[in-house]
Amino acid sequence: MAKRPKLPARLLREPLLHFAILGGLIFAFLSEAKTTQPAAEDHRIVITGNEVERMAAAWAQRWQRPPTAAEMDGLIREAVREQVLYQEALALGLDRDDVVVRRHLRQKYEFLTQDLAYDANPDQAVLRAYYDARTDRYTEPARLSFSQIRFDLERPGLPAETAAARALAALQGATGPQAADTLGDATSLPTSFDMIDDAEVAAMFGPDFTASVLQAPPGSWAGPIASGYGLHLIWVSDRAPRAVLPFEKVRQRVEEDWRYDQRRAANEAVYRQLLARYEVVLPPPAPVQAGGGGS
Amino acid sequence: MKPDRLKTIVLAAIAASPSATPALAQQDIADPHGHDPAALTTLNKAPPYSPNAGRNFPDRPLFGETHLHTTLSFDAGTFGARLGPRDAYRFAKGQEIVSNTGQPVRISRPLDFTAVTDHSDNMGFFNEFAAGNPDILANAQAKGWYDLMQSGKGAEAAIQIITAFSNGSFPIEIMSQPGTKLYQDTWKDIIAAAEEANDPGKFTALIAYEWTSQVGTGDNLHRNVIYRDGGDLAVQMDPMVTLPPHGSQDPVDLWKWMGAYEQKTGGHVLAIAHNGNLSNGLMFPTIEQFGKPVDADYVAERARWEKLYEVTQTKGTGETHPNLSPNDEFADFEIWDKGNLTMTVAKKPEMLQHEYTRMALLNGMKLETQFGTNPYKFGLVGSTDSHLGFSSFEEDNFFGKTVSMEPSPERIAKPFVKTDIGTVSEWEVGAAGLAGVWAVDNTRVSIFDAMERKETYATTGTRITVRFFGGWDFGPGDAETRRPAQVGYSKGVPMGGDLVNAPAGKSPSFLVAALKDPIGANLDRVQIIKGWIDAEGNAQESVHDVAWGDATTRKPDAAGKLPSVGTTVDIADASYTNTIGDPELIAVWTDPDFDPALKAFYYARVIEIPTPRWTARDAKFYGLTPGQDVRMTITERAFTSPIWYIPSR
Repeated sequence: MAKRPKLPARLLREPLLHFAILGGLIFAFLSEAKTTQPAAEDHRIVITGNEVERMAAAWAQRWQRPPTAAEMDGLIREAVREQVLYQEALALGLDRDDVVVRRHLRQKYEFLTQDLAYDANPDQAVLRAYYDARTDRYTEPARLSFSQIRFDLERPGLPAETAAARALAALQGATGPQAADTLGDATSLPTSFDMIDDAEVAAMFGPDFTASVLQAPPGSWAGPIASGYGLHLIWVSDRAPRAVLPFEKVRQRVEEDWRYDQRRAANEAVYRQLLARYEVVLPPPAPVQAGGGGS
Repeated sequence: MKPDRLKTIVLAAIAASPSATPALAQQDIADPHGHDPAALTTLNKAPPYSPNAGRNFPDRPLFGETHLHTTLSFDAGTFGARLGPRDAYRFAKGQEIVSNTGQPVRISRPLDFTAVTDHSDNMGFFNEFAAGNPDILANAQAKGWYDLMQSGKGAEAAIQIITAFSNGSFPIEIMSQPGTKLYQDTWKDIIAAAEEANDPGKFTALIAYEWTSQVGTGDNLHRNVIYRDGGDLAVQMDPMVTLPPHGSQDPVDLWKWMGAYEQKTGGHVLAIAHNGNLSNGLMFPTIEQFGKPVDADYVAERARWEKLYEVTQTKGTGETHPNLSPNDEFADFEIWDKGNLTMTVAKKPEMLQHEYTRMALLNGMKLETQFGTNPYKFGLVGSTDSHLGFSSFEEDNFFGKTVSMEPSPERIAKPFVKTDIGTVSEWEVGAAGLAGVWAVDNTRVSIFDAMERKETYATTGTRITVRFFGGWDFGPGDAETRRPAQVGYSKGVPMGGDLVNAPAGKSPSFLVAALKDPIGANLDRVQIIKGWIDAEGNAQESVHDVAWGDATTRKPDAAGKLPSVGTTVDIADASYTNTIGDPELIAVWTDPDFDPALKAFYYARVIEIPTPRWTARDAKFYGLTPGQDVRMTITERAFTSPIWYIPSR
């Protein structure tokens, strides 16, 4: 495709164009198929040499040997029988409104159209634009170093809120996080972390705690903030914010994401396009059921 | 036994003198039981100021999946799964995807690792089958399944296909087999998907497959094979299958394949067996397997290749059975004991002893006496066995085990498997489980090596953190440490390890520290389960409560039995509150009945307070009234790998 610069690249990537071309191909395929199939009207069944070869090859693949003459005759007889009954069934319209045939055809159509109606090889500019619109997705995680002091919500004596507030007051003027090793209620949660990802913090303390600790001012004790384990005073000693990764570093991921989105969008667009050709008539909506549904 | 519950520190000094100077206050509010730098020095020569320097153990376990099927598994595809390995990894990394039935779905938090384990037999068959490949549909049986599927009876077709596969009547001429192009293309694509998704340090995609051995009409002997290696090695050999001419149903032959793979490539693989509960007495043999006596070779090879066992998943939990452990009040948990995998042969009581983890651990020690090696010296993991193309194990976000079970108002009342022998309902399918791995780095090598040394545990789907160490010198003060890992690794061995050379007059002691899931339910209790072979050669077991929530008010009764933690579950609202239990439990426990001459194992079990089961969430969401027999609450739990005590000869 890249070798045909005269066609506008954008047009080449247009899913609906693909769909139109595909439609043409299917039509061509079906028309061609028709010419080799016996027409029902003239009551002729033609088995070509190619078809005989195909049957023999399929047999050989299955049984690991070519069919004998008798077996070949049997295969051809069966093929003729199938064609005769198939044509008669079509003539009677037995293919219409048959749930098996309907679903089969629907699935065939989906296999033909799904995942084809988009350009799987985007150029750099397309990916770049996709990336530019979603830079929040392609970031180096925020990293931080911090220490924490935990207060158990069911601690004996002072309630956790009071104990944390008093400890915080006592720690005004502290010059480092050393108190994390000795204050508060003992916990097996680690007390200090050295430049870990925000995702790691979330895995240990939960998302709400993580959001708060990312907001905390560095260089002093702050809090208390809550986690599933109680209340925490925190000392943030170092922090590197989320940083957008350069396109070159995430090109592969961008391409995968782009393809994923395109595939879904293209499949949906194909269906929408087809749907637009129809007027859909539905029965009037049933009265809303009490207690059903749910969100 | 008095609990060594986490002690709390009183800030009385602050209360008494709020105006104290910071320096003074700091001294006064110091934790008297806290970590003592002087004591640490003896463990850790000249500790650096930074607590992180030289730290070679992880802050948290890695959580992941070791058992997941996609559309490339012939049965999953037949059940209607359209999602492949790439979708599975996207989902595991926390991105929203669209399920097989068109419903948007997202995991609550990303996983750290995932192994996609599609069935090696007939791998990739379904794609060709569904596309109507004429060579496949030329087979009358395949055509029958195809028509069934096309007429909207996909689940029925799936059952028939699985049954045919299980009882060996699957037509071999249409099978995707090793050596064929279809097979090799499928295997290469599975590897390529893992290579794309693998992101060392952040997310590990383990290359893997499932070897699906079924004996008779469907006795489950399945194993997942996990690779330590990248695609450059894994691609060099097609996976082991079960059907002739390339395969075998006998695990001994799988181990030979594993040996051949390692020999040929210089790589490493391990096997994880699962669902002994559906093996009808075959998973953990003690006398005979595949018509041959269990012998020294069998036990040695099994111990060499099968370092882990999957103890919990959607098709039931197999820690122990109420009949095997009548004195364990928590034994009756998500049990599947009606028959084999296909429900073609009913369960008999004598089968149970060869199906469940705890009894296998006991029998393994007996076999060790007989043959010199313990074949059942395995660590534990949990995983899903999902056939959806993505992992599903969260009670409030459960998409079932197969596509026919994706959320709908009907699923709670439908049968999952139904035969003349019996019925397993879809409500009995569990939202479980997860593998917790104490790996130092999030890489294939580090995770695999932690699995090899059994430093792993299983959860029934929640992210409980549990550390478990055994040694000879843990004392009550160690339960008050702020660095259980540092103390644990310094003074003992972690889960999966051995205790040897018992010092005269000493009993083994254990440090166990558990944290609740950071966004989940509080903990009810931590237990240590001991199993041993007594002087007469009989298997014995005991369960010990070693730490529990609400300990200031909740005391064991005169008989030593700890009262129930109670419940806060509002079934109608599918909700609970963390007003009972504790977020964190830590204890040191010393075996009160230790005999240095007797083999023993010890593992920890952590139990959460009751929470709504996925069935309660369904009932609320769809406005249903489930049948009386439908379980609506669950007590999620974690099981650690054991620590074994090995007597001196």
